[in-house]
Parts: sequence; C-alpha cells; structure tokens
Amino acid sequence: MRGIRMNKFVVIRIIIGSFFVFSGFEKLVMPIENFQAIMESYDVLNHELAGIAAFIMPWVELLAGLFVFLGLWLKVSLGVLGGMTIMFFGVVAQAIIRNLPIDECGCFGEAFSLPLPAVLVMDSILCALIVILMKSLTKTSALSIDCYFLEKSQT
Amino acid sequence: MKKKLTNENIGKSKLFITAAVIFLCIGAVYWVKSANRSNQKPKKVRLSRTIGDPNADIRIVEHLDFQCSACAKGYFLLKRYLEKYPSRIQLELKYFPWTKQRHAFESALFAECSARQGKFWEFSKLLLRKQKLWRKLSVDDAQLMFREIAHEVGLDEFDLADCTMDELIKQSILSERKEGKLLGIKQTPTYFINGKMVVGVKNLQRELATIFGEKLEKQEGQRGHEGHSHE
Repeated sequence: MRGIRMNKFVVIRIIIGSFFVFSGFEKLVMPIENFQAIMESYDVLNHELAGIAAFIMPWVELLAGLFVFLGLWLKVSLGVLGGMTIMFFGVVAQAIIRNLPIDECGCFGEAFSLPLPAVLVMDSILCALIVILMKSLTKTSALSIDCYFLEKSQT
Repeated sequence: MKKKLTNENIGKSKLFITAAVIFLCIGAVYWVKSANRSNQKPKKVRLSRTIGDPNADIRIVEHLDFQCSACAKGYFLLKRYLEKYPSRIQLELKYFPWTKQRHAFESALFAECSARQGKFWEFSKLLLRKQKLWRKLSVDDAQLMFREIAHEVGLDEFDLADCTMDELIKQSILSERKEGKLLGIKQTPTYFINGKMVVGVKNLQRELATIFGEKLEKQEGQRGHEGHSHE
C-alpha cells in the first residue's frame, strides 16, 4: 500500500487504542455491579444514572479504543476518547477536592488500579497525546483502515 | 459518475467494516462473559457460618474481608435486619481476604478456626467491633489481639493454635476467595441477595430497604467508596 509508513504517531495511536480496549474490555467481562459501585463512589451520579453510565461507558471505551487502534473513523474516535479522558479527569479531580474515601480509581477492572492523584497525571498525559494525534491526523492515520479507504478513493 | 459510484462503494465498504468490527467486539465480550459464568461451580454452604431461618425467603451470602471498614458496617446493618426480620433472612458469610490488607488473611483464618469450635458469630462480631483497634497494628500485635478476642469468646487456645497452623484450613480460605473471584467479585463487601449481586454497603442498604418496603435513610459519612477493591 502506498503511504504506509510506521511512525511515532502510529505507535502512540496503537498504544492509546490498546489501552482503552483493555480498560473497556476488563470492565465489560465482569459483572456490571462492580463498575456501577465504583461510579457511585465518585458521588457524581445517582444510583439509576450510575447504572446506565456503568453499562454505556465501557462499551464506548472499548469501541472507540478499537477504532483508534485500527485507525477507523479516526477523527471521531480520537475525539470521543479525548472527551472521555477530560471527563475522567474532572470526576477524579472533584473526588480529590471533596476528599471522598476512594483508595483506588477502579479504572482497569481487576487488572490493576491506581491511586487518584496518579490517575490525574495519567489522564493529563493521555489527553495531551490524543490532542497531538488529532493535530497530526495525516501522520496518525498512516497504516490505518481510514488511510486504506482514502487511497482507494484517490485511485 | 464512475468515480462517484466508486466512492459510494468505498463508503459502503467502510460502513460494513465498521459494523463488522462492532459485531465482533460484542460477540467477543459476550463469549468471554459466558465462559466466565460456566467456570462458576456450585457453591458449598458452610453451616458454621450461616445464621437465620433455613426456610427464609431472603438468602444473603456476604463476601467479606474482616479488615475492610465497609464490611464491618455492612455486617452490623445485616445483624439489625436479622433481629428485625428473623424468619425472613438467612445469612451466610464467606471469606474474601484482600491481598493488600495486612491482616485480612490472618483475621479470616482466626474466624475460620472459631467456626470450627462453633463460635464463629461471637468471634466475628467482636473482631469487627474492635476492627479500628487492630487494623493499624503490626502483624504480631494484631495476632495477639485476635488471640485475646478468641479467649474472650471462650475458644480453646490449644485447638486454636493447631488450627491456625493447619495448611488445609488456609487452603480452604484461599479457595473460597478464588470462588469469589470466579463469581466476579472485585470489591468487598459484595453480597448476593437471592442470587442478585449487590456491591457496597450503600447498595445493600438500598436493596434491603426495597425488599422490606422501608424508607432509605441517608446516613452521615456514607459517601464515596465503601469498600476495598482491586487486588
């Protein structure tokens, strides 16, 4: 294929995509009650809304992460992940400010977990990387399904 | 025109791939979920850690870590409901010692040894009541405290000493924890109320209020995460 060139943007894209795929998948294969309880612990949503969010969010993480990984609808999927990261940052920040009794974030299901301040750092880095990827979309979409279809449409 | 048709086909192909990716994703998640469910073996009821009416219509299984403060809250909440509705509830306790908690396993071990001497409920009540005293102690000091509690409830200290060294008993606690993990437990306390998973004390309170038609009371200090999570 023409225009296929591995570059650092592609590497970052694949890492970020994998990260969100893993995060979403871990939450989805476990009982939803676990993630719902974690969401409620942040004291932002009530029980019913936390239940809805606990169902929807992991799917959005998984699918957007997979789309980023594959380079499919990249602009939209990166935007979604960026939006989610900003939202996570806000939720965690308010938990720290309000001194809520949360030891660990619950971000990655059973695999591992981080203390809240570390989550803020992680979200900031993720957000910054996503913005960089979006600003250099041409390079980011090398070796992607979007790139394949773009080349097809130009031939 | 030919280019437009080609672009249309490309657009359709892209949508088709998108749909295929979503479909495969959903399939993979549900396949893993059903594989997890099929790994769950039938649970053995441990009568020494069961209290309440065996004919009760509400069967609660609690998976707890004795060092978890939310577990202590949940335990005493359930005790109140057991006293209020004695013929309607049967409660069984199961161990889910959290690996990061210094005294989680030891406290479960002592509790199991008290169960073997028929004093599980007396021992666990005192253990949880005095939790704030032993949580932050060193390993040796905490063990000393567990022995004092054992003495207070009238456990035979020689049988207790043998029991706490018994590898089979230690293994039984670990396999109970493994059972809990297969059920998808990631936090303590986690309850199964007639098979329905309920995580955390707040949700337990809500569920019990719904079952018994009571008004949910807002309690001070019951904000945020109420339990231990993630190994």
